[in-house]
Amino acid sequence: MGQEILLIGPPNVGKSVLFNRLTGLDVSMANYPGTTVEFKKGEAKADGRRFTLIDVPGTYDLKASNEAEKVAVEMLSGSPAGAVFVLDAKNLESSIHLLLQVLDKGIPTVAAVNRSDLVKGRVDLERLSAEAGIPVIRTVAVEGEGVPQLEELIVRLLDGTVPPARPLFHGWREAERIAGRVRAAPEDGGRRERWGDLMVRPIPGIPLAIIILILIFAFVVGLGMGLRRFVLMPFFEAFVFPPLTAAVEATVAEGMLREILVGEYGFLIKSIEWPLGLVLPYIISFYLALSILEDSGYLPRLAVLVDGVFRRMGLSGSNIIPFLLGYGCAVPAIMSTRNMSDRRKRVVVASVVCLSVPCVAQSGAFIALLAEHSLLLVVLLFGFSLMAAFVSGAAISRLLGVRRDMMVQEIPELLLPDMRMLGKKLLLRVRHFLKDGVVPMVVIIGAASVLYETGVLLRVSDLMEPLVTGWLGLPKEASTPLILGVFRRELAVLPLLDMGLGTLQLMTASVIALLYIPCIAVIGVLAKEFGLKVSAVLLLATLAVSFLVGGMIAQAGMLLF
Amino acid sequence: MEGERTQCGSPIMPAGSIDAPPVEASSKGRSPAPLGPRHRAGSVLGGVFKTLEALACRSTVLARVYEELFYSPTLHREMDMAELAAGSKVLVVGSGRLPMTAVHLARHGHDVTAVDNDAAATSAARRFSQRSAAGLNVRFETGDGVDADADGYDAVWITFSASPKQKVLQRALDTMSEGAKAVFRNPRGVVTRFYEPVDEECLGPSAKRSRHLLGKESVMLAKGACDGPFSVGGSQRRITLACLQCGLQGVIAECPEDPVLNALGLRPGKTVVSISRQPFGGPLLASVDGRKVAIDAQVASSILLV
Ligand SMILES: Nc1nc2c(ncn2[C@@H]2O[C@H](COP(=O)(O)OP(=O)(O)O)[C@@H](O)[C@H]2O)c(=O)[nH]1
Repeated sequence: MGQEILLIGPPNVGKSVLFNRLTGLDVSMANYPGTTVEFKKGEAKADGRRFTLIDVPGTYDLKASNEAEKVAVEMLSGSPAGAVFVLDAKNLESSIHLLLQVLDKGIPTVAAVNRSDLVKGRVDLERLSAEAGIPVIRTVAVEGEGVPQLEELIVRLLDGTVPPARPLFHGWREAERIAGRVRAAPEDGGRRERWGDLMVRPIPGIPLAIIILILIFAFVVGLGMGLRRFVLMPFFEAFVFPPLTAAVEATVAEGMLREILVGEYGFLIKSIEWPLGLVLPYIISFYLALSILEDSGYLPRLAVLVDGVFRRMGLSGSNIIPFLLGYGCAVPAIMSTRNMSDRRKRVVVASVVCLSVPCVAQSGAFIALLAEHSLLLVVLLFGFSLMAAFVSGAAISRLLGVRRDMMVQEIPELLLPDMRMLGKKLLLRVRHFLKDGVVPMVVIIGAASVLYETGVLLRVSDLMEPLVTGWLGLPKEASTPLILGVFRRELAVLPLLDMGLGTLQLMTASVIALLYIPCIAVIGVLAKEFGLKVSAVLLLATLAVSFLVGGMIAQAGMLLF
Repeated sequence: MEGERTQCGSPIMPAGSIDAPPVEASSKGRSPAPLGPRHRAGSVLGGVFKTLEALACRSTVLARVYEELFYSPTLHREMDMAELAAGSKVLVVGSGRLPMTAVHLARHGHDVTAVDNDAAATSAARRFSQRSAAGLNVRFETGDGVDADADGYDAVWITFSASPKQKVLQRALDTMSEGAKAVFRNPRGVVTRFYEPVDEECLGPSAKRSRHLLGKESVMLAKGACDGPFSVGGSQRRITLACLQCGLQGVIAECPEDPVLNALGLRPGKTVVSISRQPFGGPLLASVDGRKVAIDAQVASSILLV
């Protein structure tokens, strides 16, 4: 292990951009031991010297009043070779306020004044350097300006030729004084700023948000479907499955074991097909869309627009990300709740996503099933899904006694995302999914294929029959998709296609499929993130709610018509 | 009694309307204002409940069911918010023909005076209470909430349809003694188009609120705390960031010490510009030193301007 250099600064200064400029491809996300706080760690080289760069979670303060701040403080109290502090040229006061606290830790520190392109004229670097007693340079991370100079400073940190920082006075007075002496005037925002402001005004902000979300959804579904159908699945079917099946057939005698390995729900096939062939494409397309939303600065604006609705669920607008992800796949959605500090809030989000947010594959199946009959049914179902999300969110957060977060958030300016940055972000996220998402999926697929091949699942299906015909008013075959739905959510829908169902039956079946228990991949992730108890409760609850609500629709419908 | 309740309860309980906006009859009997869209739509909405009320007026059992269904949950939450001691003196403004709020408060052991500016409503209420609330400590008087004197009361309840609500509330806050509570019911969301609300932005940080289904919330103000532009306790009027009109700027006088707020530039002495506001009580967007910040409305109402 090389020496460690910490990269530290307030949120949104461009730390991630600098981090990506300084490191190569060997980057990983890690959880700080014992916390849900994630940070990035990467191997980097400067002037031939290797070192480990650690992206300290961005905080406004080092008072250790929340988990991220605690982690930042602990990292600074370790024994890094040095720290690179990133200041925001546009918001010098708060950057300096934090810098003064970092200097207190007494480790060798150098500073970069980033986003220097956003101020007219120059920040007085010499003066800042003299006041703070550390070397200071100017950078424009997005253009790579100043990065070579920063690398030189890092080499000096590694060589130990930068003396440890001296503690200074701190507090807002001092920060304001220093900032007043070195500050440069901000650049005018101009047209981009006006657009940025318009987007958070309810009109046109809300209609615009709806259009943007629909476009994003189309993009995600289109790209995901394309990748799945034309790239990944053909690849597996041509080059991976045949040799695998052949190898198993050559070594394992015909019988149950072979069926469990490569049969219809064979473990070896499905544990490649599902995570990599079916979910991965959407992970790629979804995270690409999400990264674009993030890097363009639109996401915080969206968060502001939906906050009024989310607060009713005990959440804040910033929690929209897992919901967006959920419309792709619930697995990354649940994983993305990790950086939420309150466990109960995570449970609220995870339950709502499991209960009422259809994944992209299931949405496709719904459209196929319902659009044929009437487009109105599609609209009705998605409307129902939104309503169910809201109602269940509000109910569960009441039940768990979740307290609402008060939103106080910076709204950064709009920017055109940078392709290279997007690519790297995507790579990191996909790798993260492969590492943390695939394993639980594979384990549960294994268990399920044993249950299927031993006939346990089919017997369960028989048991469910009276419920399906009597209470739900569906044909008897409709119990099969409910069993298959455990494997993949769209399978709870697709078999209904050929049953010639009436309007009421279609609606009942769709609502049940929507509210029904999440697929096994999600169950696996739930168990890993929240433990067996929570996931068992969630399973039973979704099962009960889906049959209850579906049955109520069926019964009410039969009474009326 | 239990059996009666379920029996009568089922036909009049529309699903999920436990907290339906109760219409305590009209509290303004003076000159019927020209019917604006707000009133017309409001009367359609109110029509349903009027019918229920007319039924309830006639039957003691129905009245009791109506009270338990529509008022009890709301009132319980309101009483919890106000933390009233047993036997408190309470003034109810705008009690209407069917004075459920007043009767229910009396049923819980409080000493209640109810006023309504419609003499007909007052006498109907008297008749009602003789029949359904005999022996309870409740009096009905004709009078206008705008001139009511709240001195000596521990709490003032301002009902959903009292009008002009903002003035009535202001009057109550002005006349009541330190530490007394004012509870009022505000429409929210679309319902504000039908009923007159008290300006959401003007409630100070100490306002406690409890939301009900179907577009209604109860708000409780305690006199004595610094309460935004409401001149509570006769103290000087102060504008909070939440009240700052869009497009205007102000200088921060007091701001909570919070690392994120402070780091984003919300500190005493800073100039803030209010840019836009979200519906449904969402955050407002402000700009400080060229930095855009979204601030929860409740947080914004704790930032005082000079
Ligand atoms: N104009 C400008 N924008 C920058 C610069 N550095 C970063 N950004 C943008 O600032 C935003 C926040 O950057 P990010 O690295 O995600 O911030 P972090 O929270 O500190 O990791 C991104 O949209 C970047 O594209 C810079 O030097 N100039």
